[in-house]
Amino acid sequence: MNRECDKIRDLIADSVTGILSPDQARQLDEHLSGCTDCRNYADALKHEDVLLTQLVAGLDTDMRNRQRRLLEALDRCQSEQRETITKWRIIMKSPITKIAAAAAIITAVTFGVHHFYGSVENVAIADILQPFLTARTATFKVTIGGEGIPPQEYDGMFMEPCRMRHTQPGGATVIVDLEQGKFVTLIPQTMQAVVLEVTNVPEDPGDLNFFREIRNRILKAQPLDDESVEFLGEQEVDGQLAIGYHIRKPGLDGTVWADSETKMPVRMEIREDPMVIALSNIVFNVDLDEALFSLEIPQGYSVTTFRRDLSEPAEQDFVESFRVWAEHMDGRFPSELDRNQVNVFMKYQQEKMKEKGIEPSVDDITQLQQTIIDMTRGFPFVESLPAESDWHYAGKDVRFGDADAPIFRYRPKGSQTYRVIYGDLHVEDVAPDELPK
Amino acid sequence: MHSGLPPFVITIETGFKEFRVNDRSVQNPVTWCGGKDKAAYDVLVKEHYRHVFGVCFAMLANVHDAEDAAQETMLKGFLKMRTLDDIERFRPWIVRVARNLCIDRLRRQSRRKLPVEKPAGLSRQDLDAQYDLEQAIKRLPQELRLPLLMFYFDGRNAKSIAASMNISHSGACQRLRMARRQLHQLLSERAQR
Repeated sequence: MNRECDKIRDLIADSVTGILSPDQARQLDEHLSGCTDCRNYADALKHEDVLLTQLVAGLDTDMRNRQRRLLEALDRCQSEQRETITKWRIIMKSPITKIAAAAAIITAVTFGVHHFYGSVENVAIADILQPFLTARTATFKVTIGGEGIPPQEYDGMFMEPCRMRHTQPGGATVIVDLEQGKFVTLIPQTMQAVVLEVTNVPEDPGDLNFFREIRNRILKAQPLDDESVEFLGEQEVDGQLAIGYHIRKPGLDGTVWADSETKMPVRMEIREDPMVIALSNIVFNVDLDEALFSLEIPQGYSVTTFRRDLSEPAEQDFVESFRVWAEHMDGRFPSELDRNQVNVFMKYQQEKMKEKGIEPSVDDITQLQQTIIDMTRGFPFVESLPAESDWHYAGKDVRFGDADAPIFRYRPKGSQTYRVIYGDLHVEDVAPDELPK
Repeated sequence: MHSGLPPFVITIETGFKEFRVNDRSVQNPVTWCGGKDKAAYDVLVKEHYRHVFGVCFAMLANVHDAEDAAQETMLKGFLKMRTLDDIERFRPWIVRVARNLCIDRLRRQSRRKLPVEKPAGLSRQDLDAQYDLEQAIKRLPQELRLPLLMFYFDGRNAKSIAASMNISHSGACQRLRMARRQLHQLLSERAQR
């Protein structure tokens, strides 16, 4: 085939596609009239064109049925279970998800505690709870469940003053030492270490340490009175005959079961609606090697470090969290302000990564993790607001940058005016009778 | 203290495990699955399904995989409709979803060898030719197979391929040209065996 024939074959292909100009068509005809090879080539491409048309026509014959099957699947989507399963299947199938699974984020989450006073001391339960207050060390299993929450569990260890270690079965180990201001996550499978360096650790950091938090809650629920404690009787719990008490106090809604004879706690369940956190296999004052709580990274691990300010978030942190949210959620604000929004955010970011169709780099994942940590910094501000602050969130349908649309308002303690945050994140003091609707 | 979150340190060990911590977000689209929205989406399915199927077939070169991927795409579209600002952008949006899903599938595909459906009403000779054609199509590189097959799915329209693939018209024409030439070469090699 000479060079001219090669060029002509491009024209033949274009002619089958139907995009030849009149000049090109003329040139092609002239060549074909004198070149058998190219004529045969043109015939072959025309035949292939027919075959391709037939192939698609053949696929079209079943298109209606395929569409019907899809519509049936969509009907089933109206069932919540099916919808969730489908979505999970999509998530679970993604290789990007698997890549992301190799990374670890530590998010310190905290909760509020309140002071309440009772009048009648309940001696029996006080004895049962005593080991939680005095133990130097403890080991236990933590199980997290609740309605709509797939169960998780890990083995936990506590050591005075404020050290904690927990290990997910076959998974990561987290070591927390608040005196050192560090959370270290070790993932043996991928030889990765994730370090969260925390600053401004609160003076009473109980809520960053699971065991200490239970201790704090028990202390702050004291004294327990008959109204807040219900005796549940005796039954078998975790293979042991146990007596149980239900404690209902603001800040502590829990059940404790203790061995009928020794009165040592065998199980404690705390409800944080909709979550239920259960402690079982509890052993107090067991000898634990300090090395278990070492923050040293084993050799060969790659290390990623994040930072988080643990001081109580102020209004400006709250605003900043809105900014981070909107910038990463295509200019939208959260649909509502609840704990679940962290999940929504992360899920959305993952979907975005997936839709790019390329696997995120380690740097991408690291950046996302720090973003999530930054994003979660300010939102707890809203949970620190008392009911009398009359806070209200209206950001669901507001676009980031809209200076006229309010997204949040609250009245600071002792203030006559409200603080109103708008869609462009400027904040104004507004008199009650001038509040935007 | 300052927040109402649970009393422990969550290790979000995975990119997806955080969904498991509290999966309520996943349920949100269910409300969107209400009858009215479902009826609206049915209209979109009727309008765009064939095109989506075409994209999936062009990428996967297998009818069964294409149907699976097209269905997954449209279901995903249904669940994610609320993230789409402008319904006019549905076509490019859903095609992007389809392509990404197909890329995922191609990565993990264990290369099942399923026969392509035979069009009815063809002679034995035509069926053989179709079979050879399908085998050759599978061997075409992705960037040529997609425009070539979409050309036939989209009513022989190079402009729509350019828009769908986000390339120029001349770029689409060039790919069609290369696709035809390579396809012919693959078929010739097959005939010589």
